[in-house]
Amino acid sequence: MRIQINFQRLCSLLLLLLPALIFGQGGYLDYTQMSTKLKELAKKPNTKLESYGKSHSNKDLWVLKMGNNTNPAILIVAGVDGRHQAGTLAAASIAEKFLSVDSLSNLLSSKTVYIIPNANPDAMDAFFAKTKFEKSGNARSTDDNRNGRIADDVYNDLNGDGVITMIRVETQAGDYVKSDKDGRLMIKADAFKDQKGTHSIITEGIDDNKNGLFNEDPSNGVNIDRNFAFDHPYFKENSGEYAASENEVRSLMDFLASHTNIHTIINFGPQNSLSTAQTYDPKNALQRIIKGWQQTDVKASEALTASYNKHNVLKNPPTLPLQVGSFVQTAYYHSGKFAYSTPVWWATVSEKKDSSLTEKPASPPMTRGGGAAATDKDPYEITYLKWMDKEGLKENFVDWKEFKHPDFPNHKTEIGGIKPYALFNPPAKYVENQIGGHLAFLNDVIKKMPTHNIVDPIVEKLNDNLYRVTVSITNKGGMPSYSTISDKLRYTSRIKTEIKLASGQNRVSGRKYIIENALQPNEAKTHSWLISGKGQVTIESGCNTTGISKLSLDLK
Amino acid sequence: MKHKNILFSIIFIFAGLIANAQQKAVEINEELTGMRAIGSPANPKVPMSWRKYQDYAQMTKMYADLQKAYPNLIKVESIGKSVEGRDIHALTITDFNTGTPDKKTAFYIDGGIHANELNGCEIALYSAWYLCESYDHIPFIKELLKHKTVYILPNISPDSRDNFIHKPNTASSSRSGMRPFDDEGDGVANDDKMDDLDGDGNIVMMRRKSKSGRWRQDPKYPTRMMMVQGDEVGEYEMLGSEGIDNDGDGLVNEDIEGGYDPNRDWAWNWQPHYVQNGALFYPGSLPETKAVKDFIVKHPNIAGAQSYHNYGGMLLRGPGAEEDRGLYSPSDNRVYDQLGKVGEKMLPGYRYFYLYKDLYTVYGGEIDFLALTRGIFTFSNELMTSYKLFTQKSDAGRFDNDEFNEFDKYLLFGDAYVPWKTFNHPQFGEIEVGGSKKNYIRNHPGFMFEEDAHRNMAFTILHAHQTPIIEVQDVVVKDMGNNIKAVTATIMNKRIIPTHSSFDITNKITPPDYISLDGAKVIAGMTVQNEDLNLFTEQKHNPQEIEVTNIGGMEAIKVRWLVSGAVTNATVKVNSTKGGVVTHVIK
Repeated sequence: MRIQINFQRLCSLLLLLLPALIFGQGGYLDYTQMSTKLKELAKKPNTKLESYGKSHSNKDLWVLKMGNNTNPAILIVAGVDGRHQAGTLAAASIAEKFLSVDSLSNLLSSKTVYIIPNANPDAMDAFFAKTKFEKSGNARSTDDNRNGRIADDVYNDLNGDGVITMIRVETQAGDYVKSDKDGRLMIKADAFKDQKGTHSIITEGIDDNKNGLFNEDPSNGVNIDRNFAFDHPYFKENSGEYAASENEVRSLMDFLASHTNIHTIINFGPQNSLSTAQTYDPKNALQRIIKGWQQTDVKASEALTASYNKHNVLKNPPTLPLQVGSFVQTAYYHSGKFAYSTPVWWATVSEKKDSSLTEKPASPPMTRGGGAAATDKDPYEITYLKWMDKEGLKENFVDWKEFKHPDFPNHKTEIGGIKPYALFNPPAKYVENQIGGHLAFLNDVIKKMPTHNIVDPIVEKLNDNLYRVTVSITNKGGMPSYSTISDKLRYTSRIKTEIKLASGQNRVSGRKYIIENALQPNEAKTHSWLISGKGQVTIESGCNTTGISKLSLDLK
Repeated sequence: MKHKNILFSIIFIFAGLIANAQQKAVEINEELTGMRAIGSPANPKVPMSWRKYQDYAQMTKMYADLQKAYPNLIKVESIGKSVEGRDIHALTITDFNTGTPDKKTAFYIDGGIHANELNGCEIALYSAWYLCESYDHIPFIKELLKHKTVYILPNISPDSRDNFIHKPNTASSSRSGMRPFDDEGDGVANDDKMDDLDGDGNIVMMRRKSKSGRWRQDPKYPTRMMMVQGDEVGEYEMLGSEGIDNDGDGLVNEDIEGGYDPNRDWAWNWQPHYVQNGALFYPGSLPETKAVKDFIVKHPNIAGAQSYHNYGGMLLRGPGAEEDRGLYSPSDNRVYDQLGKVGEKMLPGYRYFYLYKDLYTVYGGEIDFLALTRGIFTFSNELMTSYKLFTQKSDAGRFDNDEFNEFDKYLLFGDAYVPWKTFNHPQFGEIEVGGSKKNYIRNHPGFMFEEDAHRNMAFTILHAHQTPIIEVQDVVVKDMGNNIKAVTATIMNKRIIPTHSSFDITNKITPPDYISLDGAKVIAGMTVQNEDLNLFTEQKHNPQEIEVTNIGGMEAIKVRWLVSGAVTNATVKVNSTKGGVVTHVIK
């Protein structure tokens, strides 16, 4: 009997893993598999799956709603930048685990978690394509070199290995050299360190349109994470024709606008603002067009960073600054949400001898296999290669191999480099290992959410029929009611305190309702009314990110 | 008898000749009893009165009537739906027998993004009507429509236009669209609208007798209220626009329809509400602006644009924000200056203004979207000015200017104002309501409309006329020996607007102009910097098709091909997104 149960469990576990094992890309799910999985999850109690819009190629944009639309909410968003599929995998896993652990799913009685596992589903296809290049964009046919001809110089898989890597061309005119830390990596030659360029670097392909540029029009689509309006990078690579030109962007912004209960957003993507907190910079925070977090909001950021670093087992994150035109920045500056980003997983090696790696964060990655910036810190690629070697994943680097390139008949040319997607999309088990820590963090974030209370009620009888009613409202949570920047933005659900009277009662003094700014943790405000007439008055106070508290008082 | 007959015949022939000559000279149209006035379509196929402001249904019917009357000149399409489900219409006006409309250089016109600004729609409509009705009579118009396409979107905020016309409003309300919003944040949308207390369709002012009031009635014009100064004693207090506190929150008319500005919803330097009043959640929050943006992006052949507004008598140009000033190059500014200066002459009382500098800062406005996101030379005319009332500029300050009241007295005989009448208000008690009607001040009185419509249209036609016309000026074939010929083509832009603004060139908004030589064996191709001094820049790739970043206004560029073999009957072709497609066969 006992064995049978275990066997059944084993079978169901296998069935659950089977699609991933058979179809998956190192355990990753494609759009169809992901949709199936989400529909399964939506059968759980308190859970439903909704489409909040359509991608450029008309794919549903899914949001898994765990909990109802009236409770204060956390939103997890992944896959906005198509190059980061690990986030999508992590978001789906978090949803699954959250719903299967009672202590977490019980939180849904008073809080809500929305999960958008893939905000840019068109880009998923490229991750599963036969020939892979790191496609960030949606399915729009873009004219990346803006010459009026779409896709007139695309990548070419010259060595037929199914991945687009790099080409190094041996030339005196080059400005790249082999890194002295790892000869597989090409770095920009630093003349001030007596490095003399030996190679030039291009991506894998030929000059299809013979204009001297290589692969400058792969028709990459619009990278959704560069199409948002905050600090929009006009006319820059993959940013779209104009800000918010893409369905995916408008649908996500509409989702935020129509879900005013969202308090905090955690974005899984190739930017990191969780390992390191926001800092307060008065110059940016106080200018006419605000470009820095507000002082009170920075405090909330610090609290979350402390929690994240406590729960996350991975240390030494690479520096991944927030990007222009990105979702996470726009979500804060234009939608007023506390919005943070993390890549969930990164390569890290903690060898005791190498103090530079444990103390300093790696510098930002530039391109795969080449283009790392010349800096004192190790580029992330070096860390990645060490990690890769240690984990026995050598296949993630295509060793440099000579190839006779038709455009360089007089030069030695070699193809090689780190495989597309590899830097931040490890095999699924490494992402799965991160889920526990991230769930603990999410649990902590939910517990830190604002708690809006009506306290210290006082009823004073001034004469037979006239009463003074006084209450205080306070926030006993670990975060503000909502961000301070929200009070500057429109259509925020702000703190509203309303008094409701019984029939026969009159408000002699005091407003019907008061609308006021967010309460910081432990901040309190006091309101009073003069009411004539006996009976019960009810005071309601709160907003959509705190929930509404009610208090009834008898005037007798 | 016979002689007499001959004589009569001769007389008849002469009479006929004279009659013919007269007809040519004065254009007597036998269907008319009088004589056509110069400048106007006198006997139009689509009769039109320009003494009223038409609602959505009337406008829609007029598009259909024009299309029926002029199927070879105008095509009507719907490019999307408004919040309330009305069509946003686009008219494509061109000579459909001379080339593909979307490949010709194009001009874009829209009206009524602020729907209370009725006259913008009417001028757009007047322009469509005038172009169709004048095509057969005025060679200039025929030539214009032969080379160019004019896209007219006469009514891009149709819900609010009908709201303005059919529902109670002030002269300034119904500027927003009709998407409901909870303006004051009490959780309910549109729960304290204005109230037409006297039921006359106009929202006017409320006043109440008050011993501590600081207002008094102007003795010359009773509907005009003046603030008292210093220790003067007032008679009234002003209580705002007609309305009651419908939701009982102690505020009057604080949550009216809409509450946003569709002209702050565009994707250039868009900023949220705390920076730019009227902005919504992100650029493109509205279906109306989305439809118009899609239309503009789908028509990269648009080289010039006009977006009609009111009021104040201004020919506005970008940028909307000072920090974008540097994005207009001196050469582009010269184009604007040339058009603006002539415009000031064509439109007495109107002034050529920089939006950010001479009016106010606008983030996320439509004209920045057109000029900077799309590289289109754009003006926005603010129609109607108090100058037009007595053809003079008033010395009085904005709030002391009583010319609108004076004009009403002497020329409108009191038609423009609602006289004070008493009303028993649920919150304010006994009050009086009165003031200017919603269709006064901003919108032209009927008898003034047609002239100003024509002047504004003429300025816009000048602007459209100055969008690029590309000509292959000449092609010189020179024998270089060794069976090689040099073919040098001179390509001229015969108008002042370049094929690319400087900002367009910097950001490659519009593809380059392609100049190709087809039907010859091209060995090499190059652009010519200076033919006399032998300065060329070779284009190594695809030499038969030379890429040119720009063909400047009133400028000629030269390209050269080296060809082996014959060039006779080879074709030089210019393919310019904003300059059209032109071919020239080598003889």
